[in-house]
Amino acid sequence: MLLKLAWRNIWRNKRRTLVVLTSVVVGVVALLLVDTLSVGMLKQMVDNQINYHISHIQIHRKGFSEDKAIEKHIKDYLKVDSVLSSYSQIKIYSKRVISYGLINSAYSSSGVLIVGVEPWVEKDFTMISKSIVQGRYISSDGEILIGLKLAEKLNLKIGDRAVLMVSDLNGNLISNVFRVVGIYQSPSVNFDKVYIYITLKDAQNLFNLGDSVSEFAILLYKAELVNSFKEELSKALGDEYEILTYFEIGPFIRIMIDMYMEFIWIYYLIIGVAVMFGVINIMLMSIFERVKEFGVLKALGMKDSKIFSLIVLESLLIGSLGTLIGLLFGFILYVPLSRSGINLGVFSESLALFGSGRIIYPVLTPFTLFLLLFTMPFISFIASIYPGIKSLRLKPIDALKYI
Amino acid sequence: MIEFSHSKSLRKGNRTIYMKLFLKLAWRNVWRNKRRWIITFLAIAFAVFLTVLMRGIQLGTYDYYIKAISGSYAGLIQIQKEGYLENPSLRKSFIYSDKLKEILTSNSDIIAYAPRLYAEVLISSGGKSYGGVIYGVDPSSELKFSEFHRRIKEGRFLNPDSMGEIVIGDKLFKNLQISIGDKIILLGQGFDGALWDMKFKVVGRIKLGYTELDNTVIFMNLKDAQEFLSCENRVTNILILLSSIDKIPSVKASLSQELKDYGLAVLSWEETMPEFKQSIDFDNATGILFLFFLIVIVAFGIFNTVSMSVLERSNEFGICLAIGFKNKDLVLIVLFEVIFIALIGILFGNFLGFLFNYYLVKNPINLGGKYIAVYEEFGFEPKFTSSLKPRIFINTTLSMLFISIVFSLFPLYKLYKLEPLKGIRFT
Repeated sequence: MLLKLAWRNIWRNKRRTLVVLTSVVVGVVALLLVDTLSVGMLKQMVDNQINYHISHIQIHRKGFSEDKAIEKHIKDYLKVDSVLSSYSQIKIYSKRVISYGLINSAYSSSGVLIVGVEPWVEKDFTMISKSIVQGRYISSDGEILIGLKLAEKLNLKIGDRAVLMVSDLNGNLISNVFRVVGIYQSPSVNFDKVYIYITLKDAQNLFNLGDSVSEFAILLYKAELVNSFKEELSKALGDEYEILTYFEIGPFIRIMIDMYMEFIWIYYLIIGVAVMFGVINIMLMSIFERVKEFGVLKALGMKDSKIFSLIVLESLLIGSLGTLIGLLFGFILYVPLSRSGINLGVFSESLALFGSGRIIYPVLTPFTLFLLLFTMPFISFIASIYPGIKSLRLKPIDALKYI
Repeated sequence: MIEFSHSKSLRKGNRTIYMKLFLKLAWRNVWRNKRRWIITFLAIAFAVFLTVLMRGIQLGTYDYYIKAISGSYAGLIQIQKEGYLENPSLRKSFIYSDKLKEILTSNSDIIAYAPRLYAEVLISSGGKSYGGVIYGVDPSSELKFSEFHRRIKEGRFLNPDSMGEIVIGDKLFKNLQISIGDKIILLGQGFDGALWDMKFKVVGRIKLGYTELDNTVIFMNLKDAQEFLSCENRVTNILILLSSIDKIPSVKASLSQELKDYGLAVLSWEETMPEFKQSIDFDNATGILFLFFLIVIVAFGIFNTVSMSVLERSNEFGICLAIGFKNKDLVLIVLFEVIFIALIGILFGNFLGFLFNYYLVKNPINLGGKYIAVYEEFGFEPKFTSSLKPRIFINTTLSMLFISIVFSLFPLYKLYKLEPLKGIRFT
């Protein structure tokens, strides 16, 4: 009954209500776009990190992540290998040798991180093999794959020779010639500048490592289980090893996510307050137009609380209706955008720095949907309190006399 | 008081008297229904305040970052050999001649400049090797130019007459497991393409707070670097600081003119650090978009207020028309009302925004704690400040005023079309 009354009341002045509804709709659509795009960008940054190199979990000898020196290799690699092969949660894992070195072309030189991989495993393990812009992925010994940015810097082309210079396990300076067979481009420039790939065998020979490796990178079937699986692994392997999840390896991402969580509500608050002014405005207008009416209602015996509820209900209806229409419009924009993505090519170099890729696909999380659903109704509830209190102060007789 | 006789003065058409009258009417009208206008005023003030604050923080912080980065790492302007930007290599180094120094010192807008020689080398100690980046610097120029000498954690920075001495980045130093006074071998490819190695004495450990550099940087005297890499009298970059960021275009143009015969390129920080420039643009664009939404939402409120105030006064306006006011006069009066209220809101919002911005300029906020890591990735201290640039206030004022007027056009048009009898009969 009250609801019906409220519904009819808000449509007594159509234009006014429509205008406020529009402001709620604009607010909801704006928040939906801002929020889903931020989440989408963050998600792409995380996914790219995982898919291009880091994977879900990495195992090293303790201290490796601080200082990627070759002497911090995993001596008992056979044990780790056998432990890992016993888990069914693991989709695939890759053995890598990683250490610093200097790459020289005839033209220039650059400090790099040399990654020795088993091509047949790594090919399906990371996205690098699918990001080749020239040539092909490494397949046999003596071949090297480098990033586009590095290739430009060193003036290297497919088929060119490059010299890798490292100090091996015994401290001797070793150099070896490799042939460039491929050039890749990942979404992150900083990655492309530093990471170069050779075969595991080559790397082991170069560093004089024998059969040992410096890293096991693991992909799980279910990414959500990284933390619990990490626990399981550390129990099985003991404390000689550092077992790191992707969050621990790329702290930058984690901080970006924390920052998002801490700042996103400010956007909701700002838009919410702006909408609130509009709602208070029309609620006040509408009660002052209806002073006489309220006087009659009160004189007839309607309780104050009922009148208060009526006003709150009217406001809530506007907020909720606006939210629903806003979500509808939002979805009409969001659904095609989440498929096609938004091409931010103009900012491609900045996005390459963040490693998100130039096309951002907005992502709507349940958390965002929850915020969107409840922000505006909540705001309109708050906005109705002052007009509601105003209505309580009316005395029936004064209200009836009001012109 | 203005003498007022409808028929006479209206016929005479003395515009200035009318204007005064209209302004007065508008001012009084605003205060006839305080509540409604106060809410609109608050909404406008809120939007203006937030816009001024957010723009201030964005622009102020950008300037801080630009100065912080360009101060030590890029200069506001940089001189390089043409093509170095695409292919940074010793091959693209150039002769640092006396003529060049003369050109730089004679330009009064240049407050400091620093010649540098960058090269990538391998650094080894006790069987461990790492990739390193040589920063061949002139210690006396750097004193005026960069903050390097203030970032020393252990030992000292290079002296103007340092020979065979190096200062190493914090992380690299720790990875090498060396201590101050140790001798260390560098191996690098010289200007002639040949590989050279040389022994240096470590005199300092420096922490720049920029992870990539702390992992790799090796400072040495420019003269040492030139000798080591066999590039006599050559540098790869000259970094230049100006008295103000706004001087960049003019100085850039005049230097380009003077240096064009040398095959040298003069580049601004936007060109040497395009990704940084774009990050700023990206952040700026998203910020403006958000504020646009905010202002539009507030504008709907203005639309409602103006509509209601026109509608409520239909009767009054009808009478005015009947006694000889013209529609456009009424439109003008209501327009003045809108402008009054918008201006008061804008002034108040600007004032509040100014206070907050002023406070932030004087007391920049250090985003310590966990956010440090984000900024370390990109090389500057996490800090945010604000700006008091006039254009922040002017742009905000104009956009708010513009939007307020645009959103009043529809009710004003209704008023323009109002007929006396319809107005009087309106209930």
